[in-house]
Amino acid sequence: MRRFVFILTLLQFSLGQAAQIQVNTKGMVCGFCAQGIKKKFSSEEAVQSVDVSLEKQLVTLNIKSSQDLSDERIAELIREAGFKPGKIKR
Amino acid sequence: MSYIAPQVNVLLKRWNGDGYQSNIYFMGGVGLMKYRDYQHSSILSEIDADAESRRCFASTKLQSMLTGIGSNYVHVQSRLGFAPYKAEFNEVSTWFMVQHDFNSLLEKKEILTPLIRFYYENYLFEAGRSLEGDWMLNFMVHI
Repeated sequence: MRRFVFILTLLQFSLGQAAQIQVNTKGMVCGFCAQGIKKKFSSEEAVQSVDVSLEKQLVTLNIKSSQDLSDERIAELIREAGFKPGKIKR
Repeated sequence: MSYIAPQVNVLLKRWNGDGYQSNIYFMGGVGLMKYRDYQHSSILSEIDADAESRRCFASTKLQSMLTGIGSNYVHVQSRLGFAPYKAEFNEVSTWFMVQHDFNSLLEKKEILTPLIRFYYENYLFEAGRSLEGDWMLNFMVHI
């Protein structure tokens, strides 16, 4: 019984983990750029939160558990925000 | 001088690179210009170009207005700026800039304005004072 509870807890933990996607983004140089990116991704159903690093030229997307966002959609949203998508790391 | 008109703003070209972005825009509008006691319909056209990294900024815009009363003008505004440090999105970014204005219609055709600009997240504030002593204040919220 104890083993069963342990496995169940592990399973719940792994299912509840939000996936993280990192996107190299060219052209982000200021706060307004970052704001535009955050706004663009925040309106996506699958996105839980967005972090932007101007120093690393990196957009980090925290994706809700059991949801996903395709590479094509990510690249499209970056372009719509006015920037150039680079490498997407999952 | 004041100007009221709907304007269109078109991005002609954008370059996104490692740590920089540069743009060329066109703006145009048809409206009313008021200068001293005159008020007349006018056509405004403008080309803007800018290039920006996290440490350097340069921009220039060429604006021309055609009116029916002969008070046509050309306004060229250029800016150069630098940031003393690289700020992150959630930090205050500080810029020191100098703005040069040339306006063919005004008595004082050339104006030089040193200014300071602050960014914080989606807020921008800038203040400057021309060498003639005129103040300039701008506040912008990116929504």
